Amino acid sequence: MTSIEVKEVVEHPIKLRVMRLGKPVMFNSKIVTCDSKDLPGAALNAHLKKDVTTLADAETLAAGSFLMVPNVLENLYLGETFLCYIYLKNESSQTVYDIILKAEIDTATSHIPILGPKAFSKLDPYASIDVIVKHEVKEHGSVNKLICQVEYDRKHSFETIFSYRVPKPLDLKTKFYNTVTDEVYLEVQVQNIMSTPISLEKFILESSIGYDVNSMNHLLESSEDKSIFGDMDILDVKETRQYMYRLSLDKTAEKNPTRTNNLGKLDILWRSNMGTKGQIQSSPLVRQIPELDDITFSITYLPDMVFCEEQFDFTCSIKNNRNRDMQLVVEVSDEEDSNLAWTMISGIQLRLLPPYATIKTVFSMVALNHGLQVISGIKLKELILNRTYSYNNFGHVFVTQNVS
Amino acid sequence: MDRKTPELRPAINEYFKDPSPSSNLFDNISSHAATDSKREEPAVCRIFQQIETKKTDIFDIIKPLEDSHNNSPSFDFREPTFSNTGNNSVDPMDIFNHEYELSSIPAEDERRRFAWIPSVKTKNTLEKASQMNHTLPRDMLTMPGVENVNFTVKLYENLVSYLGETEAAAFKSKTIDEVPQDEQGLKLLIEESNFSEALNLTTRLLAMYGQGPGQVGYPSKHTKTSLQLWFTRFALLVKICAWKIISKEALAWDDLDRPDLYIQWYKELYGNKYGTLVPFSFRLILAELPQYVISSTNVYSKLFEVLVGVKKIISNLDNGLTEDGRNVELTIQDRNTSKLLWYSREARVIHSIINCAVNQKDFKLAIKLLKDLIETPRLKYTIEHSRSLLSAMGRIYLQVGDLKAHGYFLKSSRLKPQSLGTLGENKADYRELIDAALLAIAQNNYKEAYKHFENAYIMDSNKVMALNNMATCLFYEGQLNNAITLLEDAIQKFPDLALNESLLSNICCFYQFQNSASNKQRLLKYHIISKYKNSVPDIIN
Repeated sequence: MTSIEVKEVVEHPIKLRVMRLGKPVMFNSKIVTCDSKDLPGAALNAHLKKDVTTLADAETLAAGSFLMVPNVLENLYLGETFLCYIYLKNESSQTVYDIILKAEIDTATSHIPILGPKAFSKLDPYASIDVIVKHEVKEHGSVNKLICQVEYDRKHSFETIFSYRVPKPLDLKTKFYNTVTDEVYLEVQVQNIMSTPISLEKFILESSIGYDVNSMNHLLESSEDKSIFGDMDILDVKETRQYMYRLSLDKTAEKNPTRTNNLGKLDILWRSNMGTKGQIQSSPLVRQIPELDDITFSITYLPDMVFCEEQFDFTCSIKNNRNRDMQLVVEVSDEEDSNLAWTMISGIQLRLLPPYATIKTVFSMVALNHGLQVISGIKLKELILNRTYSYNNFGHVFVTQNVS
Repeated sequence: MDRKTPELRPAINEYFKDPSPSSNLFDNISSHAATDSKREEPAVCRIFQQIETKKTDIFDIIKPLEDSHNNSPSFDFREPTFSNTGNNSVDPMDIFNHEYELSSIPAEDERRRFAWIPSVKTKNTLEKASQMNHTLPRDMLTMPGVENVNFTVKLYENLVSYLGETEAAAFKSKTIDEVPQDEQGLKLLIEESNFSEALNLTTRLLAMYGQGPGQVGYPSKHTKTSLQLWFTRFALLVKICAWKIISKEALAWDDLDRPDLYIQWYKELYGNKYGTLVPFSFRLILAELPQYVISSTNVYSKLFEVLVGVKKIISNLDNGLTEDGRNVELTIQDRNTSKLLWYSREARVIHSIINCAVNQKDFKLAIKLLKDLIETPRLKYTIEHSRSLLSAMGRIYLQVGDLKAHGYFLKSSRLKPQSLGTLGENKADYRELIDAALLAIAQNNYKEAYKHFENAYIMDSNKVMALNNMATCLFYEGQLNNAITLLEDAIQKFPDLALNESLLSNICCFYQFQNSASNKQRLLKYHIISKYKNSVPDIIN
């Protein structure tokens, strides 16, 4: 029995035993059946029917409900609850008085009292004090200890130490992708590194203030948020899932929120054998803030599909990322092999752009040929510091024939 | 000694009393054991049992008819005298419903039960030749032999030394030399759960076929009877978890597909008949073995091979052929009976695969297969069977911690027949209580679970399980002493059912934790009795 640690302290009349409790398991006997015309006749089936561990009316399925205290315990993982039976028994024929029972968890960094000190005025011969203690495991490592101290008769005392390891349950890997529009795509890989399959009950990204989260882990064409991982939330041993999130700056928040590099944290809840629960939060997910250009130039509207030889418009936003005014002139020029041509005046001067402000501009083009075409050829000239910013290959349109 | 109901929540001090003297316990056991002789007919797990002709039990459609008794070639089938289904009303335990008219001609029954499709290689051999005109090369022969193991455990003497002659007598079962040295004797030993002696008898009987100890690898003769002996032996080896022996003995059988295991090989014996000598259950046991043997690489492959075989047979039947694909006319009744048989076997194999998957913690596979059984049944299930499947599904979900289990338990509840009588309109039935209790445990609510189990205990169903589970809940609530008392109660009240590996494992765990001298004595006794009774593997150490 690995689950029991008994420290015999021979000279004391009262003895302390400690047992870590794992969830009970459902026991099933071996199922053997036969035709009643086979040699054993009805005997084997009768044994099965009589067996107290079987499921009535489906005896050949090993799905009985006979509970057993597990002989071999699963590991205790970070985020799960340490559950322990403390059993203090007077094994002498003398009554023992003035008992004080105390228990604490001792980890690499902290001492956490989880019981008492609890006083009992006396313990009769062969009587016991039974306590179940609980503790949510918030620290992983190999040096966790449950220390139980017992004092009695105002002069004697002893302690029992129960050590246990706390391995990590899940392996999390994250990757960030920054876009020019100041959105962040977050990729999270989660791997079950426990020794048992689990069911992931909750896996969400709680964003920091200032960010909106768009979870991209549901099928688009389903009515009710169907997970891309299917109906089953089961994560097998060593299995990895990949989640994807898009974080954008919260538009309702103040105009120019301080750009924080803390995107938020993951909140994960799982259950395993018979509902053993575990919950962890990741440490803050921190991204590297990309060095911003002077200007953020991005498309805010562009038709997916346009007709050949017809004019189309698209809109771009131009954002001043610097703490100074900008005076911008928009120049467009046709590229040599381009199948798109500008149908607008080049050299329009925009209104003065204050620090961190954004301006939207409409551009017009005409498609000269079919197919997927690339938009290129915009230059922004900044007159105050006399700088030029070029934007090529920043958008695509699909050009088709107008059949109507 | 006959308390009406168990004192489920006695005053706490009652538990601190010295435990009841063991002599009482054993009085009780012996009296119970005496009444045990009027056993009931096993009504359940009808997979591969039989019933009265036109009734609706798929697992039982292979029942021999009255007039077929004497035709049964190998075994004189003894009608159970304790049958309680004398009336022809529909047995509520039936698992499948169907509206077919069934066939009951013994020769057809033999063909259906022993039908099997040989592999292409074997089929070629069988088409070209038979035993009369051909000798198989050694590598195509099936040459089994039993391991040289004596299963006799001298436990009865132990029992006498603990209990005294009188009390021990109640547990005395026949020894190998007190029964006829044939299949009948073997059956007697199995009925008494004397698996060790039954195994020894199979050793003796198989030696007469040249398949005894040390005879592995030597050519010997196969008959339906010898295969039945082997099946029985394997079934018992599984029961006592003798994995080492069984995996050694299984080697000689390979895929059960060599020509000498087919009926058509023995034309001079069986005439123009087709099929296999191998009982279907033997095939299944061999397919289930890899999961118990540590070195196995693929625990599923053999099971799926059997499933594929069964599916081929079903498709042959659907296409107007015989089971093994010959173009022979079958009567409608014959064909329908065969379909029922093979659908039931298909379900049985799928059950085995699900069990294997659960055993491997391969819950996704188990859930998929079970879902398929629930959603697209090949035959109409009885309500109780449907409910059991849903409960099973819920329990598998619970094992992987998924509280969607609740949904399946609810579905099972909805199938509950509307109250037949006056009372109990909205009262939970046994099944609902157990399911609710399991769910409560998943939510760490042992108090509520205890209440559900307690209510279930009052109902007349699996009381030992209810008591054991109540004890388990008490233990998790910090009531070790009460838990022990409940389990001891269970042993006193239902010694025959309660003294088994699972309950002993619990009481053993509790005793160890409590660590009092009297416990050790009692535990030893429990072990000796249950070991003697069931040949359970030794767990005392």
